[in-house]
Amino acid sequence: MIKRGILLGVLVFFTTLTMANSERGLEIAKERKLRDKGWGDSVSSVSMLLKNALGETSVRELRVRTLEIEGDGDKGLTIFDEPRDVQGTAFLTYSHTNSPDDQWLYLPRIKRVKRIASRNKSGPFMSSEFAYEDMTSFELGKYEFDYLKDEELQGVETFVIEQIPTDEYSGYAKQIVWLEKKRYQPLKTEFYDRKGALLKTLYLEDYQQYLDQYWRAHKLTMVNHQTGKSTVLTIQDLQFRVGLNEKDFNVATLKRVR
Amino acid sequence: MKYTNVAWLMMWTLLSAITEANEIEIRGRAAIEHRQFFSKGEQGQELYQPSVFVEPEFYKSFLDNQASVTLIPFLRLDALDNERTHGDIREFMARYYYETGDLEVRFGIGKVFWGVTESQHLVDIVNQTDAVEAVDGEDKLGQPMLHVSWYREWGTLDAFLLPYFRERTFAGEDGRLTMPGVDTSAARFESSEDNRHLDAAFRYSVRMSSWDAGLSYFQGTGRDPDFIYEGGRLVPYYRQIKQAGLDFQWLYGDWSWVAEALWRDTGSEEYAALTAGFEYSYVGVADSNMDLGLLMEFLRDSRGQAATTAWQQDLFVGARLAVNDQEGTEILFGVTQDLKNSDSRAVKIEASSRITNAWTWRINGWLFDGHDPQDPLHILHKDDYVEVGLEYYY
Repeated sequence: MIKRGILLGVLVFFTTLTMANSERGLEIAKERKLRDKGWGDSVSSVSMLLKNALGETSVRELRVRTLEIEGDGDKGLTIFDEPRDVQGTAFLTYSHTNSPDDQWLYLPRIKRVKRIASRNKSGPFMSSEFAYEDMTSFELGKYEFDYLKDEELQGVETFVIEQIPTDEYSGYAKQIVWLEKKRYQPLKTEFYDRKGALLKTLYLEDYQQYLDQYWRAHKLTMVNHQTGKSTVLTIQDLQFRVGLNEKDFNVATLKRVR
Repeated sequence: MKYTNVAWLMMWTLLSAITEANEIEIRGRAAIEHRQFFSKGEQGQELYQPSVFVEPEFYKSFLDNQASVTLIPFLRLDALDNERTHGDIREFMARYYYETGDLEVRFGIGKVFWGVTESQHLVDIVNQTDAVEAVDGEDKLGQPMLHVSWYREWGTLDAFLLPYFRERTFAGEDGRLTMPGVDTSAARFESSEDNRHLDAAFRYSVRMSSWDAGLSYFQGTGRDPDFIYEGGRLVPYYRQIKQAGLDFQWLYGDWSWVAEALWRDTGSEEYAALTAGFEYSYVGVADSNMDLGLLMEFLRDSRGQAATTAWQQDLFVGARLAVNDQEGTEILFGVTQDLKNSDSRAVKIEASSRITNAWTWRINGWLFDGHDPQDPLHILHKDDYVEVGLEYYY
């Protein structure tokens, strides 16, 4: 009887502990989202440096436009400038908080708008180590959160948070995020594949502040541990509140995007 | 004045007007291609068909990108086929976007694509097929048009006035993939206005969270000719037609379901046609970075064996492999098999990859089986070929 009581006590203790951890995790994620609210819209130029296991590199040049949407996920438009055979190709994404994202690709040569199947989101974005799903905005509904611990990462105090994707078509079993305590910005994210093995690590560096509030990393390095390949995203000329609206993110008008 | 002359004149006027202006975006592509056939043609045509093409693009935007002018001329030089040596204005379009009204007006020569299926494009009717370019019918001639689009929350309405008709191109006597005896210089029209009949088209399209749909209507000169046998020649005859079309795509998990259907009244007959199927995608196939798509589409034409198309009751089965390497390598393989006639099929393979930032290579191959002389594929039964292309982008 006593034994069972102890067992029950231990069980209750662990349950509350887990609950506390997931509550804490969600709280931190909410704070992260809250601190980033109100940025409006932005444009930037992005260079993508692809490196394979042999060290051979190739470069992609992109322009990215984003729009914050009240009550739903953000909208994003990426226009490819290089390589030249895909110049003018446009990638439109509507992130959603509670349903799978919608993604379209406009191919200018054949004047065709192609919808990207929800399953394909775990596939590579422009042959890089970033998956389509890594290119969409951070939304609370996309994960179940769990606070793991506090940790010092290269002299910076961080929360370590586990994020389990809610979308069954995600390519990841989980992500571990090192979130800077002071600014609530991620410094490092580990991605685990569906078998639970470490697949990739993303390092976010060169944070700069905009509009006295919003922090953005300007160098993102994704390393694939299973293939030895890596991709470095460098963000240039980031500008906020340039006056974009929902009409600039319309699927029907993708054809006129330049 | 001939249509092409008018187009060249317009082009040179524009070019001279914009030489002083700045910030004109110039890009484009050029390619060297070689087609190798496996046997001589029915008329003893050659085994080799080398050619080159250029397709520059000039673009200028005005009023903070509310308006723009695009010019895309195209020129191919073919060593074997005089008919395939041809130029075209693929696009010469002025566009104005009226933001407060969500209206966009386009005026000039342009290209419009409607459709979702892989094996054929049933509902796509605005542009004439530039059939000397490729057998898949995906290359189109520039179409003169006034095109108005109205973008609303509930969808997009497109209206087209098409004042000038472009005749289909056909390979010449010396060329391959030809229809022997076609006399393109003597095309006839049902309309007394010949190729100046004013055609019209409308489309309503809507995109929801997991599906897209389009409803279209076309009235005017049919893009597919009938042929009149006259003095040993086949004379293309273009009828006045009415066509209603539907295209639909639904995404569900690993599945992409697609369908295109049309109803057409050619004046002499009414018929319906359907292409419907799916693409099932495996992402990261065999623990690699590659994506594999398996395609299956059913093609049906209510006219059955009397249809002018080869795809009256066929099954298309294909596979698409995206290697997802730095070179962006892609391979598509497909077979369209007649379900009534086991000897009738077409097989295609397409592969492409990047060499450098500006160069790509491409290989296309086609095999045609059509033993029955009544089979529309029969005229191509000696035209199996492989085409290798080297493309430069600037």
